[in-house]
Amino acid sequence: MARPVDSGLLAMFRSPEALLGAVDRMRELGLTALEGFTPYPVTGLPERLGARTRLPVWTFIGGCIGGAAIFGLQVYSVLLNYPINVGGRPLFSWPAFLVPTFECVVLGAALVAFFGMLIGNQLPRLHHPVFDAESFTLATGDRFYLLVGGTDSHLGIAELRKEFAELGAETIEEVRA
Amino acid sequence: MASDPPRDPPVLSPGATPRSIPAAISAIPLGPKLPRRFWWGFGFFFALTLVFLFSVTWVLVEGIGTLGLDIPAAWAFPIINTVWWIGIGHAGTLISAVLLLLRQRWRNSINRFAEAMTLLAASLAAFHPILHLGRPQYFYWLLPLPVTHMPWPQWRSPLVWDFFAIGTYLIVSLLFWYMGLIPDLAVLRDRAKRRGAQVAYGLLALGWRGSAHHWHRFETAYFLIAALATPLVVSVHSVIALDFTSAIIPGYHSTIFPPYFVAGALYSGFAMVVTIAVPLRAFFGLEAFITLRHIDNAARVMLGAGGVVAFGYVSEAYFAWYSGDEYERYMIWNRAFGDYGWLFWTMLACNVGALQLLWFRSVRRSQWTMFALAMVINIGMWIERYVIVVTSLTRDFLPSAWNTLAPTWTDFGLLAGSLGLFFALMFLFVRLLPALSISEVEELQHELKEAG
Amino acid sequence: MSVTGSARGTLRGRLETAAPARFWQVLEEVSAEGGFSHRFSAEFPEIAERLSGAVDRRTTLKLMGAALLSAGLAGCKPSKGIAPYVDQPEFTVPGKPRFYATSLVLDGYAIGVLGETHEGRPTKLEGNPAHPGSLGGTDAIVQTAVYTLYSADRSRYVRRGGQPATWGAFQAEMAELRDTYVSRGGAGLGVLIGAETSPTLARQLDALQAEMPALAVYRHSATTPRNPAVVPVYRFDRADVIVSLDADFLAEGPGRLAHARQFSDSRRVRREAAKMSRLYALEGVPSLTGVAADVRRKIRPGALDEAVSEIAAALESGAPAGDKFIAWLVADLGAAASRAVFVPPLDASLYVEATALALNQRFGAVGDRVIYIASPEIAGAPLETLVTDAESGRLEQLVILGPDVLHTAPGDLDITGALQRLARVYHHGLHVDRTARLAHWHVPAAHDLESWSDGRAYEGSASILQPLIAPLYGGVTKHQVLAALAGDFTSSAQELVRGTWPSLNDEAWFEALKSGLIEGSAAAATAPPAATSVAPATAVDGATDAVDVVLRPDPYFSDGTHAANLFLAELPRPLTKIVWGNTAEMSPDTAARLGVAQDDVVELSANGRTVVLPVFIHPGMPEGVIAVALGFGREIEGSAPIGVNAFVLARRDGGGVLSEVTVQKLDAKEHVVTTQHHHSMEGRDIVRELPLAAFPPERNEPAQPTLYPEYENPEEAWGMSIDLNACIGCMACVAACQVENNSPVVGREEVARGHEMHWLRVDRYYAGDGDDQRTLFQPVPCMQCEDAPCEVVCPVNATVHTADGINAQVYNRCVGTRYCSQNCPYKVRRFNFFAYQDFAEDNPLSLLMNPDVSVRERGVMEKCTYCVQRTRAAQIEANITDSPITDGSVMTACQQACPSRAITFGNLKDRSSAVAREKGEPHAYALLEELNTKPRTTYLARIRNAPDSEEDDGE
Repeated sequence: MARPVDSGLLAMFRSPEALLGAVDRMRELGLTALEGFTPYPVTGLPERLGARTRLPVWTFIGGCIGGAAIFGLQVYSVLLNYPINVGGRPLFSWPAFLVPTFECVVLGAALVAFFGMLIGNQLPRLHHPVFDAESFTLATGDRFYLLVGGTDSHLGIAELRKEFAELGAETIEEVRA
Repeated sequence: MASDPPRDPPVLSPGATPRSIPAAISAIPLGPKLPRRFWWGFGFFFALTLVFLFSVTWVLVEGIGTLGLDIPAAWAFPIINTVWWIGIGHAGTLISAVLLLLRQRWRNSINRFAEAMTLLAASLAAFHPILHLGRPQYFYWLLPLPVTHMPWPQWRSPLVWDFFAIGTYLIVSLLFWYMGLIPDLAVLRDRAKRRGAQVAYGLLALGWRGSAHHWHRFETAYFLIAALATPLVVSVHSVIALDFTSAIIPGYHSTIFPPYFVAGALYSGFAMVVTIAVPLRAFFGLEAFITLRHIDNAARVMLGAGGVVAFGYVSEAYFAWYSGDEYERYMIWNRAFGDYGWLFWTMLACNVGALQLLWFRSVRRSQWTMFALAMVINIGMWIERYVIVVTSLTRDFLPSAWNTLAPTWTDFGLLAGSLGLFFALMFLFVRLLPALSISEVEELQHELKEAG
Repeated sequence: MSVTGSARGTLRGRLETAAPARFWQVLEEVSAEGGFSHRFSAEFPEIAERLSGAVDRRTTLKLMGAALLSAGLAGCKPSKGIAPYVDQPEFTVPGKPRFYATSLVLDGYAIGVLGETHEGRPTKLEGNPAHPGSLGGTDAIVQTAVYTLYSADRSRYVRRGGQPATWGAFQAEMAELRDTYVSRGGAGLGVLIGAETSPTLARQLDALQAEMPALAVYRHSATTPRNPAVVPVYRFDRADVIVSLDADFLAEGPGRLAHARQFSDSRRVRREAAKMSRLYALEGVPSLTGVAADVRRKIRPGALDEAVSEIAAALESGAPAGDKFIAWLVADLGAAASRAVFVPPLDASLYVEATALALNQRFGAVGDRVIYIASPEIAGAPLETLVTDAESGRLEQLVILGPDVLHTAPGDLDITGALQRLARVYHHGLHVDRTARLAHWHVPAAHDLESWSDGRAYEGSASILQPLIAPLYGGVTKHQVLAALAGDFTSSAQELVRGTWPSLNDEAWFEALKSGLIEGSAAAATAPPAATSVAPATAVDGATDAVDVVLRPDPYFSDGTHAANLFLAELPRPLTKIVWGNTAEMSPDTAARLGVAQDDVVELSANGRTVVLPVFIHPGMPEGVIAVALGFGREIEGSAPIGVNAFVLARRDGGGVLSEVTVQKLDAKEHVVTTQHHHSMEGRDIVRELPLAAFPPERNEPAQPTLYPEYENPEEAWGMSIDLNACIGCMACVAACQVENNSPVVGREEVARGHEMHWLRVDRYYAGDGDDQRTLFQPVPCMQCEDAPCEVVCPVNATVHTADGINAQVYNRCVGTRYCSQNCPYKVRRFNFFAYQDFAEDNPLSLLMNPDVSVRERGVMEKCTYCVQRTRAAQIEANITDSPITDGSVMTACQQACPSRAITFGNLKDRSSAVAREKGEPHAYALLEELNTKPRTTYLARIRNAPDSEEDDGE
């Protein structure tokens, strides 16, 4: 997506359906700087907002690195750094080495997935303009917000408010960065 | 289970509305007072925690000889506890990860405390083997650290595998659990009245604001970790099983162990879920979210897993006979009729006998019966580990080395104490964090509404 | 030296808490007689200054003891004038042990040993191959003697009426005594000795009796009560039929080590020479000789005379009457070239002795398999005489050289009363025992390893005892005591002994010291005792409910002489594997009849005297017999008594068998601690046994495939072979291993919990049942598997393979998972569950430590390493001299200790090495070889040479 939208006009709806409807309407109006806030993931919303992520790729890479590193370390330690006869077993006992390797694949991948999510979402970010809006809260399970970035809007604030009102927004207020 | 037979109780009671869900769930951490019995319970388990601390200190000061250990049976209670706890530690991740991937709706309201249970159980499981080292202060020598006094870990040793498996499992479970918590922490942040709570939850919530883009990445990551945790959870108990399988002692050296241990893990894990779920819903009025349906489903999983475990017992005996190996045959005979025979029969009664009651819906749907059954199965599974770990060792290859084992008070102190610690921490978790996943229950409620 | 350093520290600690006054008195008193205070302030100047205020007597004694101890340590150097055994470096090389030949005197007879000393500390004794009493072999008592040398419970200073005195004061007392009695020709004065063969002692006694003709010499030995004038000397290696008339010649008597060697030599069945002697044994209670027998017949201990007369009659008539035993014996001896020898027990009845002699003469054994010599022992009146003399007032004052008569006197002999009647009793001994406490004077004895003395072997050869270390606790030799009595206060202990051997010029003397033997001093054969005709005693008819009690000296504690040796206390008894105590051993049938079970406590009472003992079920025992070990319950100051003193049951007329003993079950339990709990092989192929007829067996080597690579051993490839046919189960190897490798004593409770620390164990199994029940021994050290299961599972590389194929244990790296022990099919690994080693430097036992073996801390695993310190030393030597290690030049401690040469060790890469040849024998096998761990330690099957062995499947 483009720059994250963190200022503009914030409308609150009572149902995810209303929110989705509002998003569609805004897109018809050609507005792209949109951001929704919901208490739980609303199916279809990210697609409409054009959200995309490369997290799976990074996770895969993380797993590969984790596995390769530990396997390499094992091979290095038993073949090059300190070869010694342990129980008459082969120095390169690769089947035994697979277990730590697998674990480290998972570990690497999981770490990347988690921190990748945080980084991608630019979290932690303890304060955000939207928190200043009176109407904004995640406290109840039935409030769905749409934030329209005022910047690239060819509509005036007034038209936008009207639109929102028609779409059934309960509260409409401005969010300033 | 998309279309449930009408007779099945719902996964979410119809009464639950979008507004009632966060209110009810966050009432526990944010509510001013908790029922007196909560504190009675906590006090009891805290006392046991002190027993735990005392036993641990005693072992560290006096030496590992204070535990009931000898040659040949140089492993006993601590290892049994480890295997038992790690088994219990499996249900959480399974419910969260596997059922998530399988899109089982009923998971949503029980996964959170199941994950907490996993974390605590896995930590206890990780602690015991370290405590029962001869020189616990050097446990980190199992890590590939650039240290001068020893070249490397011995990668062929199952104990090194354990170290990696349990370590990874702990970290991944923690990430998974905390990640799931973030949106709910935001809810608590926004609902909290007291400043302290607002700041605390606010910091933990990392500034979550429910942005659609965030939710998108969040779900992606959540599914990715779930997908990773699924093979992981299977690998962990398989690796534990390899401690035994790759040893040559009759009774240890059995290739069936990995799958049969995983099944055992599921079995005891879900037993522990029931053990916790029943009081939780009863005491905190969460019947709306944790319904009899959950208990029922847990019971069905136990029935399946328990069946596999029973099959494990049978095949162990069968292959001992079929192998024609005199040591294997003697081992099985000794299990059933040797010094510890009574334990073997108790184990069968608990794990296979009691299990049969679960065929009856009426049993599965009566929560306190299930609670009692779960208790019995928890005990039975502990005994199973005792039978495997100790009985095999006391009678191995050379009769001259045979000996019996006498547990000491320290052993029982550790066992009871670790239970105390576990439940005390569970109480704290329930008190401080949302025991159910708010956002996921809301989502569930919404989906159900759409499904009509 | 550091030891005194920290002794100083702890002393200071004690003084802080001490109160002044009487201390100075004591010290004054002592210093008046010189010596102590100077030495003390020399050792502890700053303490001597800071000493003030009253110190209670205990502390005083502790201090003095410590001072004397540290004085001894300070003098921690071989005293001058003694000679190293082998070519020594010009000066001691630190870290290099030196070996000195000397002897230990056990039950009066010398056993030649080579003492290994490190910087002047004796740490280990090996048998002296040149000495006939050892032939290089040792037993558990010899191996653990160094413990007694250092143990802190030895007597540390002269006492007068229990109060500290000095050697000077004692000498003065002796001078007085001498003045009193020389005039009276010695009438009223007595000397009590134990079994003694020392020529010097004999010379001194003769000299004393020359000037005091009426001087009474008493002799008391609980192990050999009788002291016949003529004694037999056997050559078992020349016999092919050995008949033991309930004689335990392999484990008892001064010739036991030589007997074990000769016996095993006569039974080495190898591919080229597949012949072995046959041992018939009549046996009352199980003994090592009995279990080694090919044909055994259990008899009631009281009924030996009958059994022997039965045999004699059968041999006379030549008619194979009676049971298999007699029938086979008659058949064997009927054979033309049979070379038989009959062996009566040490305490044989006159009839048995006479019959044995007659049979030996009849079968031409005399002069070949057995010769008779004049007893090397010093004669003396028995203890009964002493008591009567004391009661009649003929005896007024008594000098006791050694024996703890209050402990070992038979219960029906009022020795305490007798001694109390005497005006003065002077006691000389290693410990402050009951006798020492009753005596008016006590003088600490020097340990054999601190002494100048001499002694004779079982066949008469004399050897010199030279001290390997200056007396640690200010002990003196018995020769010095007698010298004082003889008015000689100047001669040193060395001069006293040297004076006995004017025949030796200095060169010969030096040679004798070096070799540990005086050449050609063996006794000449004399005529056998005149044949007497005695009627066999008819055994007390065993009324079915009657119980016989057999009192036997403990195999390790003997009559109690070694009862303070904790190494011996914790060494499993050969047949029962019992540690830390004695029991009432009985067969399962007897126990059932008496209605008792293992660990029940019973009270045995015979004519008014009782002992209370726990029951131990011993399948080998004959019906209606209870065996009780003597030597326990000795009360030595500074150590708690172990077990119960059974001498109270003994009768003055000797003979260890008490009939008509009543057994009463008490309402109590006492756990009998053993190190082996299961006694059947469960039909597993563990100890292989095959009849001689089946030799050589077709060797079945299952060619087992392996996925693992071959690891090359660039230099040596160490291996071991243990001949189960030679092993007599005497446990010398286990004791040797413990001393060599600094293995700790863990105590009764720990052993009861299965925490014993012996790296090497000797397993004991029962095979067969009823009369042909057999007892099998199997020493089990680490097998040093080439594909070791223990190594694979260690997570920290703490146990790995060395270049020469040893399964090494790296203590510093061990974190103590104990997984290795779990995965060891032989369970030979031992774990430090607690801190068993006392690291306190002021603990005198730290002097016993072998500096070449690291001492293990709490929480680490340990195990047999084929004495890696010895193999490494040899390799280093070889590298320095750039010469290969010759076969047999490296011996493990167990191998070197073994009196029957059952253990072979060496380099497997050298195909001609002894161990390689042993492993090539057809009856060689690996324990649990189906596990394919490729053990480096293998066994040679035990072979049974019973006439019926054709039918015998030998299980």
